[in-house]
Amino acid sequence: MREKAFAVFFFGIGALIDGMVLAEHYTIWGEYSPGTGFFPLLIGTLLMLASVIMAIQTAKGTYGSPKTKPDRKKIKDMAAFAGIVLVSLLLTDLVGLIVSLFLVFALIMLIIYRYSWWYSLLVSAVSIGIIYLVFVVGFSIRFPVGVFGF
Amino acid sequence: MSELLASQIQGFVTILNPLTLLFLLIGVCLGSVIGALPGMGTAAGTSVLLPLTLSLSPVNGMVMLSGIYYGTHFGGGITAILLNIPGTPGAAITALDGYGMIRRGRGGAALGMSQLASFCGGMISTLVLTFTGVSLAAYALKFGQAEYFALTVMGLLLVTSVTGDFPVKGYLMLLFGLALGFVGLDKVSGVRRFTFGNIFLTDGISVVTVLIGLFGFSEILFTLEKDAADAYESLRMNQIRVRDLVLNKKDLKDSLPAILRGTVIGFVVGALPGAGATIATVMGYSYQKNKSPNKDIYGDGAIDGIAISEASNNATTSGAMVPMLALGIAGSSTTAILLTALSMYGIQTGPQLFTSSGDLVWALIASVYIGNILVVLFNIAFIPSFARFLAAAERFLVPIIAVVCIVGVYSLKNRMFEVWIMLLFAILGYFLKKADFPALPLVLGLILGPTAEAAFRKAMIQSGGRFTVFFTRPLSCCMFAICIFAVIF
Repeated sequence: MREKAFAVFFFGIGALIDGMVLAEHYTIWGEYSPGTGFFPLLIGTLLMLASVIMAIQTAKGTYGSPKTKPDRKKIKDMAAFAGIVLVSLLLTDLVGLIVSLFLVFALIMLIIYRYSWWYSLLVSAVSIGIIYLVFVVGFSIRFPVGVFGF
Repeated sequence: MSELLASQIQGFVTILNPLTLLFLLIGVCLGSVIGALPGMGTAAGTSVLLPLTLSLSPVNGMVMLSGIYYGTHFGGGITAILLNIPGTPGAAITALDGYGMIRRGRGGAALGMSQLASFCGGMISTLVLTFTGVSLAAYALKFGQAEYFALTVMGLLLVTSVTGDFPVKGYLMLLFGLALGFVGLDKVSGVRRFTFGNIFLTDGISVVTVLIGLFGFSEILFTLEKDAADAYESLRMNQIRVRDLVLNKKDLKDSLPAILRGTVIGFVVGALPGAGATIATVMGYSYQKNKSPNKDIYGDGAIDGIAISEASNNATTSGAMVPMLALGIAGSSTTAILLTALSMYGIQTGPQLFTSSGDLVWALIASVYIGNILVVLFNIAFIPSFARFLAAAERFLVPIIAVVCIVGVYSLKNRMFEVWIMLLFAILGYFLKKADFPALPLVLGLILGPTAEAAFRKAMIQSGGRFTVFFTRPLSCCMFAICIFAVIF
């Protein structure tokens, strides 16, 4: 099932590449050498070919049956993690990267590992403080700043 | 020869004073720490610390900067092994077997080997630099586009040895990696390809971003799949003390040939302008698979896999100094920074550097010998403490790793776009690994693909469209003959 899905994915990538080469009119062959579109066209075609081969092999049962899925709680944790990271980083433009990272850290401890709110906030504040000292103060890397001014 | 030895001894005399040794120690320690931080990288670390060194004397400043340069290669393997987060692109290869050894409870040996191989690679290649540097530079110049194409073809052919049990999956990943390399500005014509109108894709997809996403960040998802008690069991299994870093006879026997191979490959490839540490590491690692005495676990815990990747990684630093010192040609962004530093000190770089500033050059080479010793001693002290810290902070490792990966990737180009790309590859990496797709062919394709394409097209343009250029140039012809031989046999 996974291999079938990836066969479709890679076929799609190959088709997209070839399609863009043709649609954008990249040069296939210049005066003396392959043009901008030659190698992408070649690789896109090979991708489609290889994914067809994998689809055929999957149908023949070459890859065996899939391994067991993680249980529901683990899937919930993974989804929660993805959600926390996504939402926190989407807020970066508003609150700045430091606050976003603080949210990532604190919410992971609070929601996934179920620590108490004060412990989560304390550990998060200390950890992000160290990150700030090392990267912003130490290495002079400029993080996006939000409404809080940092 | 006696003149050369006299110059080198004078170099040692120049740096053997407390102040210079102190700056060397600071340089290698900072380099090691920077190398361990994902995303920072050699060039970023060196450029950030360049202003600090300009207030020093030329000898002290260059000794410190070059210490940072090769120190990062020592440090990159530490987090790669302990947490599967490569600090540098070359360390991504080390992570394959290094993290595998951690999972098998042999973390101490893995870390010990990474330091030993890095040390040997650095020392042997510096010896070669000392005795042959100037004459080798002339050969490095003979490498034209046809030869670069042949070199990358050799590297790409090695994918056949790392495709795993299902070759089609390996080839699909290689092709996907090659396809990712097309994104951005075409190196030959300057045309924007596959950017979808997004300005951030103009300079392509960063290898480090993909590596951190595929290896480091996706690992968090696998960790969340496990029970809390098992999540970082590997760190608890590996109580790393200084004595755990000592290797046994079998490990040494298995790894010494790999260290020597990696050193040769790393030095030769490092001496070629533009080739880079990652290409050398990938080539060495793929080549070692056929020679490995641990074929059954190669890629998942073979100590010689760590040996060859770390040795070749570190050997490239001395190799890269060949064109830098002998010809004034920067082979990589880091050596460009070192050359910039030399110019800022008022030292004219170029073929006359050995004669006009011989004292500085020989002092710099002498510092590499001592720096290699200092960084190993520092890491022997640092690694057990770091491993203990990680084991103690086990409960917080998921948020720590998440945050460090985000910050590391952001610091590459100072933009959030890289973070989103990393997240995309983290999710993709999770599902790819679940379906047993090997990651190394993708890395090979992404790194070697752009160089292969550009070299082929430039060689064809320079020869007026003649394919025979690849077979009429002696070096290129020999390399293709090796490729054909390797494919047939």
